[in-house]
Amino acid sequence: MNVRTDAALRSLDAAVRTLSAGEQARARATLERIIVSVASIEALPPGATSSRRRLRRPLALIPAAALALIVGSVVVQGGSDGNAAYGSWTATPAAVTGEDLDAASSACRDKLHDDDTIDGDRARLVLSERRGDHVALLYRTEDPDLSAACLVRNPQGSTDVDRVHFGVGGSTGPVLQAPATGFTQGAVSEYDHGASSITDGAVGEAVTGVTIHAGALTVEATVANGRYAAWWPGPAFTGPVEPSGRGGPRLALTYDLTITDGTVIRNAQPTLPS
Amino acid sequence: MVVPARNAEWPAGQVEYVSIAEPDREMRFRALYADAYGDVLRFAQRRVHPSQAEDVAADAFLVVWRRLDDAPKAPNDVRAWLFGITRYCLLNTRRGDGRRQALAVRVAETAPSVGLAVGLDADLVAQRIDLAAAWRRLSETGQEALSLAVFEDLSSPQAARVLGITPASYRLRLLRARRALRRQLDLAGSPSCMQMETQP
Repeated sequence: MNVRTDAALRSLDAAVRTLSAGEQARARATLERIIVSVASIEALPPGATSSRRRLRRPLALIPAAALALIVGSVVVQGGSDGNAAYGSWTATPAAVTGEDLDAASSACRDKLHDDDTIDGDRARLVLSERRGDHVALLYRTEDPDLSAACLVRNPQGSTDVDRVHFGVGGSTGPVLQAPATGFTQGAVSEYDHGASSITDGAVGEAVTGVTIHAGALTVEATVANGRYAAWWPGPAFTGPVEPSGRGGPRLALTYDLTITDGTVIRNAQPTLPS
Repeated sequence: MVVPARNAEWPAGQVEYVSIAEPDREMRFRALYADAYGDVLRFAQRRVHPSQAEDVAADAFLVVWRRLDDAPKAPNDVRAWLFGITRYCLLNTRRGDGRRQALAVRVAETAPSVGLAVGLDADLVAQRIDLAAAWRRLSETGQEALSLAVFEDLSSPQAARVLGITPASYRLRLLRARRALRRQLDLAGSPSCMQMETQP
């Protein structure tokens, strides 16, 4: 008696019976990301892990630590020139002036449009900063929640732009809002065997400053439009470059937040997806 | 196993690797993923907007990886176990809507013009429209019970496992869901559908 009804219902199945080539490709990519990200979950610093956290599917993130806000994914990019290239770096950022911004953003926009992870047409420049000869730009789409960090060498007052480093991190999930006096830890990228690193995330409305401690370096992040970002000439992780086992290297960053009333929250812990 | 870092934009850089231990565990996970990803994706497609289904499947398989040692041995039981995890992920992400106990299950849209345009029998199209309308009037609990039997093709013990209830409770839910669907079809007043219900 139920057989015909069941058969009729099956004709209304909303699911697609066969995976498309695109779905199959994305499934394969997801598999690799899961395996990598699980190893990285256990690399998070104490207090940053929670069994109740919800995974948001990572996109093609690298060199960023994928799963922004969730997994301090560890991906180390090779390179060769080391710290010498960043001798002009400053712990406190400076504004990027008009012509410099035009030159840097032109190079970064090219990367944005070449990247198939983030919609370059929709990505909005939300933050820029200069530290010595290098300019960092942060582009965002809110839906999906993606950040594209672009670091270029552009000596002040010059239209020369080279050494363009670009990476996208984030998730397909909704943007995680930071509480008023809190922050979220977004992508963390480490380049060139730890010669430089870059990170970004969201801050609450009452947060006016983010100070990042990266080993011996203290970095004043740029805070604008509800986001923070900073880069520094040093590593973001401790441990071996090629980690063994599921532990992997550990994130070596701590954060201090400055609130509108001047209060400084030392060793602030990031807000994680619930 | 090593996974190459991708998308490097570092000039003249060399890609390094993150290595992962437990190769046997990884192989088991890969095999399970290959076997069951499609089923989990379809389970999700029935319960969320198609644009979100792949995210749901990814969420579920992350949990699966971490709970791999709990996986049942029998293939059909594994499917039920996977669906249970996926359902839990969905309920968990929707808890902002209130403490949800069941998930609505979508059925295909049934626009008359589409069926007629491709030459389907008008009565058949009408049956499908009535059935789809009746389905949408079912409670989420009813849709869920029916879906596990009809779309996911699970036995009562397996479906019960997905829902975290006893097989007897599930059978009762399924019975009530079938009755409710029949009532909705009766209310629709479509002889063809009622006929469909009563034919052997």
